[in-house]
Amino acid sequence: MSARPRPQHANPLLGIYFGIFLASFLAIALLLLIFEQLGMAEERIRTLLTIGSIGFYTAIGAAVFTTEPAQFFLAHRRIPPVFAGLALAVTAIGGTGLVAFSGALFLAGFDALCIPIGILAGLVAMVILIAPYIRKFGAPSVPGYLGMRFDSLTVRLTAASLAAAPLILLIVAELKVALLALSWLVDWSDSVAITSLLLALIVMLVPGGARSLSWSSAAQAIAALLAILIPATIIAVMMSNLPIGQLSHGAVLRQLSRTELQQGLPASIAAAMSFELPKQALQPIVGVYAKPFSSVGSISFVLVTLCIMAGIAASPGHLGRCAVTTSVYETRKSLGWSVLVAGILIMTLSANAVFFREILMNQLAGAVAGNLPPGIKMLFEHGLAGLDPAATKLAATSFTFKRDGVVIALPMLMGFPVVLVLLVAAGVLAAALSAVAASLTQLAIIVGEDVVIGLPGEAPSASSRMLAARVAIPVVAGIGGFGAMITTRDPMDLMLWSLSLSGSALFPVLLLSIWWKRINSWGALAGMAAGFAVALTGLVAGALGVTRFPEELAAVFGIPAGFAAAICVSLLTPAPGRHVLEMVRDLRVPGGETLHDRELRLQRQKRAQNR
Amino acid sequence: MIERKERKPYWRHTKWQMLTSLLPFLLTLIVLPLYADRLNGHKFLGFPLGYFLVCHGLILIAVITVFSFVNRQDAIDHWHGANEDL
Repeated sequence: MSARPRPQHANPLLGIYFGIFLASFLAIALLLLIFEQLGMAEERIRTLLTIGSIGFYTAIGAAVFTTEPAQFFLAHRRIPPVFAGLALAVTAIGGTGLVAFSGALFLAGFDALCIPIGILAGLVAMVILIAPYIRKFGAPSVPGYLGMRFDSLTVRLTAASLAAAPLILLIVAELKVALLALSWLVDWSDSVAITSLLLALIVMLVPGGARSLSWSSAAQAIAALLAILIPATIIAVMMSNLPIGQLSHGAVLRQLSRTELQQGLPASIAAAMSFELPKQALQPIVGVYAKPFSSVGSISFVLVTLCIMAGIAASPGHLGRCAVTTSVYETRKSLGWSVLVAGILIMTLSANAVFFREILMNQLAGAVAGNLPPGIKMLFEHGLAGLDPAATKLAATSFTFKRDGVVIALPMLMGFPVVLVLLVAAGVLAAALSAVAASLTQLAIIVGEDVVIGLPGEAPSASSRMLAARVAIPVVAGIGGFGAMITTRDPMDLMLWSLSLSGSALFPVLLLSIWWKRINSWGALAGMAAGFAVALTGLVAGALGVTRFPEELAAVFGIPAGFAAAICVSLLTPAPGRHVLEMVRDLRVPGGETLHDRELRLQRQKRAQNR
Repeated sequence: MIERKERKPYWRHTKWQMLTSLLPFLLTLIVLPLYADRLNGHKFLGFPLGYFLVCHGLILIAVITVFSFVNRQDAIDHWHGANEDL
């Protein structure tokens, strides 16, 4: 067998396929708009949009059925950078990001930027520090990479068990958001809704694994982007006469700042270490939009940004996507695309929040308690807003809003047709499904690649590993669904917990495994265990109220603990062997054979010689 | 394929590229928000400057950082013969 890498080329017809998808999506949205104006029953439109969109993603995933392990675990490394980057950006922000950040930006203004900016910084750190090297290594999962890099089954199994916690937390958070989006679309009971979502995910992912994930996620990302950008563009034209609200909301913000001061919105300064972003329950606007640090302290703002950056850069679900691009260079390019798309999404959400506040202020000017504007009344009817019973006069601070409802409250307040409001809900559902699918697939790959290989006895065949991964998908989906049904925790909290755990347990070890040759398997084990334990202690202590330190900042201690333990234990134990050092040298060079493939080839040769 | 004697210079070059890409971005990420309130006194394109720099400025810096990193690192790969033969 040749030692040179076999070039993997992306399908040249992909652009055409996704062009057809884009055109169909727009055509269906326009058709539904026409049907709505022609008097089609709203219930029918809602059902069509829900079943149509979920059915379409499921069909894409099921259509790329495969029996080849290289396809199932790595999508044959044939995903072009644009599609991989697009899917990664939407997955990183996720449905949780779309609903929670929109609401948090509206209610808390500037302070809520710490989370989306942290996600963006995480993607930057991922491309510069970690992702190209993971792609060169070629392992389909992060524990697989760490296990082979340190030549240790213990490291592999420990990484697999520690990576499972943040992945499951993310699955639960995104499933909760998917349920919320589904409740905006159709009037299904929770048990019917969760069963439908889980069934759709299973049918979508079991046939093709990473391959199904890549193509269904690309479609979901396109749908989510369109669903957010189309209403945002219409609102921008209405508010600023320009279709680029992301850059043209400056004049609106200037006007808003004046109105906010007239209405007496608080402009207090929070303590440097406080972190009080809005939660899910109805609550009033916290302060002046552009005024920093009224609910998140200045030091907390920076620390949360850095913690989220580490969490995203080391997130196993996101790093797993880096292994499916055609080359190391294409991995870097795909992350470039994801930074661009995530940036556009963040600017759009921020512009929408400014427009929402401005419209609200305008509608409230001159309104009296008994005769509220119809847009605001509609928000009351849908339970998205409420009137503070203690308020004596009608002002922005007299109203309370549901953080997670803001994303659909804006098109409602603007009086948009029902189809456009539903389109936003469908976009949130697509983003949430994409994020659930990414974590679900990564967990299934961890079971098929790392847990099964780590078991005692002869290494199982590729087909048995694939079978184990296929079986793991419904099992993990069931666990996630059960979690989503029983937990009452805020999805944004769950997402931040997940990022704290992945940042603390995996970021130090992943970084050192590439940039510091001296780290050995003992150091890796100690780093992962210490980071995870410290972050978990911080999260639990914060959640139980044992400490006043915000639980969202648990990684502030977890990450340094991970680094310290990995470095100290590595220096106190013997240096890594020649084989491992040679592997690190190869890992750092983009050219040459993928290390995962080479290791597998050498193992096959060894087994053949033994026979 | 990279020659053996080229590995050390390649990795040194790569490390410098990593530092020159990441450190300015990290510095901006940490420092800009801390001065946002003071900068808000000034206006740019109608935006309060502090808000504009944190929301739009950081995104622009991130995009420029990544795109320049991708191009520079690719040039380094080719210079040292470490690029992939596709």
